[in-house]
Amino acid sequence: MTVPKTTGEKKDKDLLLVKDFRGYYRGIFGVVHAVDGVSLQVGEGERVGVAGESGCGKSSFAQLITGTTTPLLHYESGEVRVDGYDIWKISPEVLRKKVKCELISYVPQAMLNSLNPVKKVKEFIADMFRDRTGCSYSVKKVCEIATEHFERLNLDRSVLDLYPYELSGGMMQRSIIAISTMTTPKLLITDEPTSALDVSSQKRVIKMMIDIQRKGIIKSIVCISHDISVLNQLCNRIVIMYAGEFVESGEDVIKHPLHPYTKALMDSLLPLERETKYKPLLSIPGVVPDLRNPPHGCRFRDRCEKRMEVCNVEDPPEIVKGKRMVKCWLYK
Amino acid sequence: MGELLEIENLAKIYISGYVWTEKKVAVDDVSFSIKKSEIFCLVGESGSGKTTIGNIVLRLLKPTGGKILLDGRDIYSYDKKTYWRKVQVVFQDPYSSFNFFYTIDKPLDDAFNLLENRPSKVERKKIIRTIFKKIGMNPDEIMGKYPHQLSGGQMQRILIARSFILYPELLVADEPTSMVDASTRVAVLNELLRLKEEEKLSVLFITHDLAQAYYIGDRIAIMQKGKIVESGLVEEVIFKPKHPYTKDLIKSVPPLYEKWKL
Amino acid sequence: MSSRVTLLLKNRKFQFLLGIVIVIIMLGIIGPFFTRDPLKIAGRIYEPPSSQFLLGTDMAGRDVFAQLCNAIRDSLMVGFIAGFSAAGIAILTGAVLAYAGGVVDEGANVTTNVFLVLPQLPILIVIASLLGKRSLIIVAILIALFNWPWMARSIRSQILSLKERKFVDLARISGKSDFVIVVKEILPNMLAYIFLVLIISISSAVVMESSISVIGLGPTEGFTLGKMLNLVLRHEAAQQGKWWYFIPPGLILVIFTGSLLMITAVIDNVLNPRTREI
Repeated sequence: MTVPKTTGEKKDKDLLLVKDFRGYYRGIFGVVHAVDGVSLQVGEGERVGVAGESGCGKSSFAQLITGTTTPLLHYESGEVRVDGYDIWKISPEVLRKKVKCELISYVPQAMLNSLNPVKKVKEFIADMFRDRTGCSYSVKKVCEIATEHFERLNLDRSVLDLYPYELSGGMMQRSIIAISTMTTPKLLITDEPTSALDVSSQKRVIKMMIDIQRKGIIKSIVCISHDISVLNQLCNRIVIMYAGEFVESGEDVIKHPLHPYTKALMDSLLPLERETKYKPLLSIPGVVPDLRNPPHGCRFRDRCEKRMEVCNVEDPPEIVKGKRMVKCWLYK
Repeated sequence: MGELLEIENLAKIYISGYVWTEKKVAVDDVSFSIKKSEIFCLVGESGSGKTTIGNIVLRLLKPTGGKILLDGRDIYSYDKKTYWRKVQVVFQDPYSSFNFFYTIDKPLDDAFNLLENRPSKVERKKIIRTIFKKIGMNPDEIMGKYPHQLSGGQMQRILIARSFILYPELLVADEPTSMVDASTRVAVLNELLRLKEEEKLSVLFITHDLAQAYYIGDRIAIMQKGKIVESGLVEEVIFKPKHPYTKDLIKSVPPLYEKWKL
Repeated sequence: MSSRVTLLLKNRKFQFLLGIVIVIIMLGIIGPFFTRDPLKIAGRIYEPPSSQFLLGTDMAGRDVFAQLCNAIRDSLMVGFIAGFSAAGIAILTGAVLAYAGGVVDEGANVTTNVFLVLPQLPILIVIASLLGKRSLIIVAILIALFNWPWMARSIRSQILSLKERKFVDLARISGKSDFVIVVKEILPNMLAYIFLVLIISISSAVVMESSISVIGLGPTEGFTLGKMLNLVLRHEAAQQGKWWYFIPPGLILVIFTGSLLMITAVIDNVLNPRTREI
């Protein structure tokens, strides 16, 4: 099976393989091309971040690669293979049993608010465990397994006996991530894991996710976020998403951005350093194109200062050099 | 002294229940002052009390103790309209700040309500158009539109534009960029800087983001659990922090270029 | 907002249901002008429907269709008066309580709870039997008295949550009084909700009126669908198989209230942001 590579390195079996994937929202408002032809490979041992601003399609992407989409979001074309299983072509039963219960763990955005407020954390874990593994262990037995898992991750065991409202945001998020990896899935996919948290809790959550992967409990992580500093700490590879497409990816995207959008984005960020105060920070003029009518050619062209003739006409190709990818005519 | 805003021993305690009461201290003996033409940053995590202080300064909440002076006078000695001509606000959530039932012109139009001589409808429209051009937004693309047709960044800039109608002395900006994309965030921050330089506006900038506070601020105060733990010039507090909480806070900010050793 | 309204108006289900409701209302408004006097004996006893009598005659020879139109008119009158007055009182109290807070609000909550628990039908029966003469308006008011508490409570909750939104704070900081804020900022955001509440209020009022009229404790003046059903029962028209007499009043009641309630479901379906828009 030959696959177009976007990282340049040959992997025997990629844990996550996305190939020319499209997913659109269909409703009375029209058809929104939320995810329009993206490709990604995530191997074992990798931590990949998908970065982008609001409306770029990253949350839709997360929903589509985990097979849990909101009613209006539909699969259009392309492949998403998790450990070899094409999740949009297999039967729902196999999808649920094999992929969702054993291979992937998906922690969506604002999960903290979705916990049942009248159930203690240990009851929530018992329910989830029973659903995922199909074993009908008692709450006590599940508690034992959970305690062992929590202690391995340096989490306080007392969390199990509390109600959700009794925990702080940071504690809750770490518990959720720990719980979602209890059944040792291979791939952890999180959407905005640190956005609602204070800066001090953020660091602990990032540390925990790296720990979970280093200790071998899970193999790889895909993290979706708008916060590039967080992704810098958590991930070893970052993918930049704009208007439904992946425009750049690689390991040193932050220090050496290639795509004009990435450059402009990095220029508008505020790191906590002395130079920041005297840097002329510029915002990106213009607005994101309406994805109901994506423009021909490059989607960034209206806001790009390096725009050329060809950008107005033809969709730029994905140029791959080693571990780097850029989708821009400048590098042809 | 010439200070614009002086806050002395401010306190806000919430009491719930009638027979068995529970006390919650939101603001605990806070004192600081803001000069004219200065951006003062109040930095803290959620629950530190910074938003409560902002609401008290705006006269949306009554303090339980302490004094607040604007231009040397107690803020409650002003009548409401005069006070709000001098002190204005930009809230965190642009989507909540607009009433989706009306166009974006409405909050701007309403602001004229506070002026002593309210200009005619035609005059008001003209003034609003000039202001949009001044901040670099095309009035034809914005006026008459509904909030859901615009982006968060655009909405925040429109709300800042309100200040140009009133020329307040103090603008309370409560996390004005936290719900705005990184690429338009800078436009909002630069707008505030321009207001300070050109119109001699002072800003009480409330945020949890140390980097933004550093970029835009002159002086800064760090809050924890209702108290100010450290304050001073922005360069000193951030690069030579003294209080352990401040040091911790700075260490927790994920650097953009280096990686933590985790 | 107007785009939402056009969306609603284009929806087929909505058009269909609205059509039914309008036809019934028209029967009630225009019907009485074009039909015979419902109380006058015009034909023979229990005549089946014909070109002369669209729905035949009743046990005394009176035109059933004429009776139906007048009954619709009076039933709807009670329903609309009760519905609107209940909604009006509810909005007023809901707004006042949402802003009052403190002990006043708590006390009102307790009172509302008491009202909610009281059984509406038995109490109406008792009151009705105590009052000698009951005009249509008195009955409407009595019904409204039971409907407004639960509406006031939900309206109060809505207002309380809208009150926390920043545009309300912004309006305060623009020097607007609380009254102006409630009327111009908060209520417009609740229009859809108020509309739904009104529809439910009207339909439940119509049903409640029929319930007390059927047992003979309805308004002493006027002629409602409930009263028609009361006559049907007393003269055992069903057992005698006079379908043109006993089916129409009940059928109209069911169709009217059913359509109104289904309209609320359609409105929710169309306007709910999660099912229809992004």
